[in-house]
Amino acid sequence: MSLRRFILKRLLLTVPILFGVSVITFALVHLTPGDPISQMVAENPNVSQAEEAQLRAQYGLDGTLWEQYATWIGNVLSGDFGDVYGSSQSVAGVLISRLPETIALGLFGWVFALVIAIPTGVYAAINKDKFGDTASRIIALSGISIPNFWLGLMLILVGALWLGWWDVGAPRTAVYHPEMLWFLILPGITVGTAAAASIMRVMRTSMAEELNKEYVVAARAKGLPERKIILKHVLRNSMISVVTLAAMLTASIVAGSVVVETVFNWPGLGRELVQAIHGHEINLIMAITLFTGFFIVLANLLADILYAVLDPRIRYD
Amino acid sequence: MTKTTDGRGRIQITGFDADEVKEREPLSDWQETSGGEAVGRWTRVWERFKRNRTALIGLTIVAVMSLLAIFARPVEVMGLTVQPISLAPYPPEEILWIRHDVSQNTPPSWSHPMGIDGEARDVFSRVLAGGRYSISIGFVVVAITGTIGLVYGSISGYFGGWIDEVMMRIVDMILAFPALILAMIIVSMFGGGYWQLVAAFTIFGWATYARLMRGEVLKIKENEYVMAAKALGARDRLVIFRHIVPNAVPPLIVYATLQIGTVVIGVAALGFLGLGMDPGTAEWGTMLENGRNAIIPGPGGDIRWWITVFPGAAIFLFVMSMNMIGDGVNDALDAQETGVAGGGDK
Repeated sequence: MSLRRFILKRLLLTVPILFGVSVITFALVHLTPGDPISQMVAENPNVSQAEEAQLRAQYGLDGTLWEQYATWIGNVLSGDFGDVYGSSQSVAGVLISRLPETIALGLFGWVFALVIAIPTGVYAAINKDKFGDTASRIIALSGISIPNFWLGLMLILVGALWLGWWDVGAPRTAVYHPEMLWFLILPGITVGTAAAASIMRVMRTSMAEELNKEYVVAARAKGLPERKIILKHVLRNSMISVVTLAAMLTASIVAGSVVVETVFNWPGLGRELVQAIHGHEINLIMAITLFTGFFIVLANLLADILYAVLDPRIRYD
Repeated sequence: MTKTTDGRGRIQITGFDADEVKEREPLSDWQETSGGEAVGRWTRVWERFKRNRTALIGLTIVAVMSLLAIFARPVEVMGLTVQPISLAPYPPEEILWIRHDVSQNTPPSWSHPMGIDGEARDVFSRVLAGGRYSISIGFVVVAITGTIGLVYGSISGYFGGWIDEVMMRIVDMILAFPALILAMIIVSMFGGGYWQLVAAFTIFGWATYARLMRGEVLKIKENEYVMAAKALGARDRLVIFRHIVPNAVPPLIVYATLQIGTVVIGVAALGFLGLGMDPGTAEWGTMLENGRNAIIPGPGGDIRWWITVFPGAAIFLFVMSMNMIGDGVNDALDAQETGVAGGGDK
């Protein structure tokens, strides 16, 4: 299969999955007992039946589930996610204002994870079974085991309360202001730790595997310096599995941001989702969930394509 | 055993006698039985697991923590006390200043080794008892989701064709969402509580097992013994559950072991977000939520670290031990796969 056909096939497979993602999102939220209209009515007994029906119509909550789904997905495809019941803002507006915050946090987490994990993984593989390797393995094991919300709390405890280097509530300037980098450190470390630990482990394993291959022996035999062998040959080959893993770990960073944003009171999509769930803001819940699902599907698509580009062997499945 | 070399330099082995090769390299896993009857594969996996010190430490910690949780407070089933021992000095929900001479937010001391929280409850008792929810939910969820995934994946992989295509696309759709976000929404539907949390992680949690299992089944069904069983007229159900499943489960077991820790973190995360057990319940995550409220406002001077440090450390310790077990299981089963340490009969 040529690369182009492979990509085309993967793209086509994505369409039904995205459809399914929207169905799951919708079904999850609409099987909730007690929709927001019933809540509004319960809070305000003066609402008449006619007004209630009108409210339902206004928020697209009348008719059968399938009709509701059709209305909703139609609106979503034209960029209309409905309104937030509590504040009457448009959901799309909320998404647009929150998204940059989450992207900043996720990016920082990513960079942190890669910067820590790749050199450590390489170092561990080269010094296999020596002290440095053992230490890095213990660190990696701790990294995948530590609950991110607790890690966040501990960082606040140490960094903000004991050392006093950060304020507990970060002062807000524009997210992409250089000053914000300092305030991104704690939440960024928290969100990136799990990913860093996983990548470190995979990097070590795949690198150690590559080091045992014959081409390494050949390269050594022809007298290449060890440094060149590792950086030019081995690292490149062992990066393949890391690239795939990295794209897949996007899901872990997305899910992690929900918790981490709550810990650090970071005004991103994750914190918004938690608040929406507490407040039964179904339009907002659906929009963020749908967005997350789409994002992860696309990240996986990217991982598959990257994998195919980097390692032509896997295309022939 | 004697080794002689023939004229062309090849080694001839004659007069092989098992009794003479008693002294072997300790790592080679050779046993008397290896030469005779085959040892069950699970016996060999256990033998290998037993030699892994890290995994054994993990197993011990998990066992101790589970026992501590069970024996923390007496267990009553329908009014009948089935477990009378109580290791925790106070009931985890008891507000102590009413009957005892303690005040809120007291740092750890000899009588209260983990301090007193903001509602005047003994943190030590709460941490001990808190394992009950998280740990048991972890095991229950993994048992249910593992079983569902095993059956689903076997069917999908065995029958193949459009059945496989449809079943796997459903799995793809589910895996497009982070498990934690799905669980959050489900809990917001059903409300918090023990079985609601189990449901939250079960309803979609089987998908990864299904995908793993399907991949294994696809590989294994190409084996000749499967064809032989079919040729002998075995029904599909028998072929799947007698011949394919037992050979396909190793990766599933590794994943399940690691997943227990993930579910425990997930349950605690929901608790932390206020979506788990009722507020005030002695559950590790829920305790952290209370603790967060205690540290974030930054009270004048005193940092009440003990309220957040201990419950979180309990989760961390448990999950880390679970992952140590998982790695050990992986190594034990992996060696089996590649036949590295096999007894020679593979």
